[in-house]
Amino acid sequence: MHIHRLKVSGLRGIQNADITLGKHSVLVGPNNNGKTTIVEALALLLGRDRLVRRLTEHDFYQSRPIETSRILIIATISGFPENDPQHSPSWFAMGRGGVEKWLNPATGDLAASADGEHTDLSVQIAFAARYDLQELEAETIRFFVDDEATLGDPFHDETSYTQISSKTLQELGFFMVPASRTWDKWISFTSELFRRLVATLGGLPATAIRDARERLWEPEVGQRLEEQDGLTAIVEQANSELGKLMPSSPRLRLRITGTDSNSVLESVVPHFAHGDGPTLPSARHGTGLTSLQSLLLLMQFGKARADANKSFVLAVEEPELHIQPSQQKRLVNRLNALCDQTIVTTHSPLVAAMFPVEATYFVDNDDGQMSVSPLSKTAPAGPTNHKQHLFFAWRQKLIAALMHQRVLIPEGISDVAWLEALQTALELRQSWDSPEDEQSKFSTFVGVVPTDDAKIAETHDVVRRVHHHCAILVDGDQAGRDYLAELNAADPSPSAAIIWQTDWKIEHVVAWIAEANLALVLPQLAEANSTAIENAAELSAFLESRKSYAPTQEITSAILMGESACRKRAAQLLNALCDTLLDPSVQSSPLFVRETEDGAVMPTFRFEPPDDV
Amino acid sequence: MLALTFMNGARRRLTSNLNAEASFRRKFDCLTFDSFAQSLAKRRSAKLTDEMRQQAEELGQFHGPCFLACELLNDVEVRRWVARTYPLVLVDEAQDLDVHRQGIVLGLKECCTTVVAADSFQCLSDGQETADFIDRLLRAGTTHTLTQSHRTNKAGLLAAALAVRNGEDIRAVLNEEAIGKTNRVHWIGEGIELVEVPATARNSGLLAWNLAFQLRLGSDDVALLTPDSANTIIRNAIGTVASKQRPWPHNAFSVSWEGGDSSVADELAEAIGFPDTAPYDEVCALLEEHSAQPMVKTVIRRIRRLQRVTGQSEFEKAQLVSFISDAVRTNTRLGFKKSAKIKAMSIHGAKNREFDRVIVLWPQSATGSDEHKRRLLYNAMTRTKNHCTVIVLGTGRLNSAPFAP
Repeated sequence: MHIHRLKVSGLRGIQNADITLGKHSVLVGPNNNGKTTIVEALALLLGRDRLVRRLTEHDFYQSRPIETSRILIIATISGFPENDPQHSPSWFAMGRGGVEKWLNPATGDLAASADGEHTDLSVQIAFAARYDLQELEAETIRFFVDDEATLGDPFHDETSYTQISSKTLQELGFFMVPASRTWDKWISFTSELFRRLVATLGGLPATAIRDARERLWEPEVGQRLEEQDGLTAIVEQANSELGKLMPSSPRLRLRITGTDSNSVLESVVPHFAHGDGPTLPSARHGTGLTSLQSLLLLMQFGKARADANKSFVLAVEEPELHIQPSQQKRLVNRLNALCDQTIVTTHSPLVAAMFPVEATYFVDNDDGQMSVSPLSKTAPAGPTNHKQHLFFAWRQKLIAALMHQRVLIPEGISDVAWLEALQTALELRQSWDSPEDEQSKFSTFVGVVPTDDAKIAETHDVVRRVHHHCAILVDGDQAGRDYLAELNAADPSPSAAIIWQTDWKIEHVVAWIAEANLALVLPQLAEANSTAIENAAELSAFLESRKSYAPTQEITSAILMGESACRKRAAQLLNALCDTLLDPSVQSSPLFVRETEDGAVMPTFRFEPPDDV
Repeated sequence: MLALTFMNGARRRLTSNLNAEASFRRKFDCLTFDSFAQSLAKRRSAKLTDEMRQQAEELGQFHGPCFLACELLNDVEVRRWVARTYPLVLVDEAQDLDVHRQGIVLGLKECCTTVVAADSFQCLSDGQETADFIDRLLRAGTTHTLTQSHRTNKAGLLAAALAVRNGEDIRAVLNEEAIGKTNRVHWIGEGIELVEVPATARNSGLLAWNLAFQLRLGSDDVALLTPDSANTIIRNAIGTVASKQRPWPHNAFSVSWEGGDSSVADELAEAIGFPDTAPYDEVCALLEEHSAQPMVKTVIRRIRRLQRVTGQSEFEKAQLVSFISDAVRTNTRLGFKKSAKIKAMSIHGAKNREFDRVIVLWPQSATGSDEHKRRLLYNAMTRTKNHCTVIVLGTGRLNSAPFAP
């Protein structure tokens, strides 16, 4: 069984969301746009309440619920054995189950009866919550959705609904690994997961526990704490006082643990030993091992379920936490192989890149309206060279770029390299007392998409489908102007366009940065590159000749950013670029002149260096 | 198991009977056909076509949902869905079912093991066609004929009832005796008495006197049954018996007529006195004054919940009155109404029930075919556990149906 589609409304930052999930999906996107909320929505719906906090006002969209405010989460579940309701009686029965629906896997439509296209048996379940303004508490229900179109308000007295029992929900086998990995708690009997695992796989070692309990409760004479030196005096005095106050003369005894089986179980603390080293509590081991505990257990659980032919659906937040890239890869692969369905959220482009493009979902939250789109709707069959680069060779970089609030697509590879090199070199120079005007916020807000030379239009086409704030950067030559025209006519067009000064390419811009203190940097550049460079013009020519030689960009940037005046210029440029991209409706900024009119579909800005050279 | 009944009263009684059996306890749902049909139609509404909905609308609230349920049960997927929860279905008094409810039973028998109990002779709807239905059921499975009465073992009563059923002379199985020292006669047998009382509109007191005489014989569980509960002679007589008046040598008997939910609701609504519209606080205050009544408490709870869930702050009279009648109806449905020791009702209202003593009041105004009258009388007599008295108003009526062929 797996979850085919999830609709969420009114929960935290999500006013409306409608997500179709595949067998294995990864959710990526900028921070704070709702990825965790989606995973927690699943946990709320599928009954894993203890992993999610109790609902308060802040869980309702906009944090100020009124009587009619509702949280509503509806999931379509599919993948029932044999597509036959007879095999899943707890899901499809009149009194206590749901209504059969037939899913068209290609379109996602549901029909009341099976036919040629609607072939997959499915059911819809929902979670609803309202906030009671008198009791100051949330009221929640989980129920089967018979007909989404006529759902109405489940809390209204006149609406009747069929509740789902938690036993039925457990058949789906949904587990969640939240981002906050609590330390000692996972492998311990306080953990519900561990107890269930033990119960499933072998049962509690009851005899051993009872024996331990006996020993702790009635230790042998001479072993008892209250009889040890240092404590005897206190204990005797205490007993003497008690005897004067209470006729039954209770006697003080000191025991380790609460001396019932439960206390014994709860005092179990996991320890690990490496090789021949000492046995240490898990909290004292490295973060990696601690973090992996939970996933370890879940893998065991998943295996037990698979062996019993039961479903196992796993949602993992940030599997990359605390572990090395190579381990991340192994972990993700293992999860995908062992679960019926995985839903992963991540900040790691590496983890995201492990999923095929049609399973990589980009989450965009536009003021409450959430849209989730896959990087590519279908697996690119026989991809063009360009798509091959974008989706395969450069997938990590692409995803890393998409995780920003704004995305910039330059004309070619060297532009990408220069922007990165300048930004990195600038950041490396940051210290506590760096002046304001030497600090750049470009990389906080803007991601630069790797693109093949002359493929800017194709790249834009792919990226614009998943990221709505997508701008282009072109050279100031005729080719650049042509690109502007081409993309202006595209639908949708870029959210903004930047063009360098007439006849300028990025190499000219770099030379402009150098001109802030040419006398100082030029000799350094000449030496580092083992060439003679006499002036700015020669510099830009040289750089152009070396555009596909990566070390040039790094070395040059390092030298330039070593000079304060150049840093200022670079920061000024990057910040102005960033500001323009953040709000393309501005008239002009100090470095970028607006070429188009107000309300133009593709606001276009031209770089004009100020005359203060 | 699913147990289905026509009316709510029967539902309550069947529920308690089933609960008394250890093998059924907590393993069944007992519903009226209505509530089963509504639930089915609502949950599977996606499978309904516009024509079906149209037809259901035309049939109205009473038959519409049952029609839809019947249509839905034609679908194999729906049948299996129902059967998964209810592999066994029990239907009692199947002779009372209209064509739509019959359809539900016929649909259910295709997917569930069904046990249907029926006695065509007890069908009291004059003219209803049950023959076809019973035929189909007889051909569809095995038939067990139940002849043993478990309600009573009084030989005289059983013989008399059988005589009525077979259209024979009821007096033939009884003994004629003089009444005390008068020159009037009555016919008696073990557990049964038949007597004529020549009461008319002008001397309903005569009936009252006879009735009082009967009631004086005692019992805590008496039913006064009549085929025509609107008959004035009977109504007056019962009224007299219920109020203390000289020169009665006895105290008044406490008799209550069953039925009349709507009058209860109307009276309650009047007593509370809702304005045309009122804000929430005012409505609550008004209702609080009558909150000693549990039904009013229900209404207060409902209004509070409505305010909390939807934020409704103004309430109109129409809505409040409907809440009151809902509460009264639920009260009756759940059987919370206090039952009197002596109940008066129509024979229709007595269906499926049993009483310690039954007094049948047979007025001249009893209408219908001979067959229909026999069924009415048979139904009334078979409600008895201990003793049944049949009082026939008028004279010379014992030579025709239902007392004689």
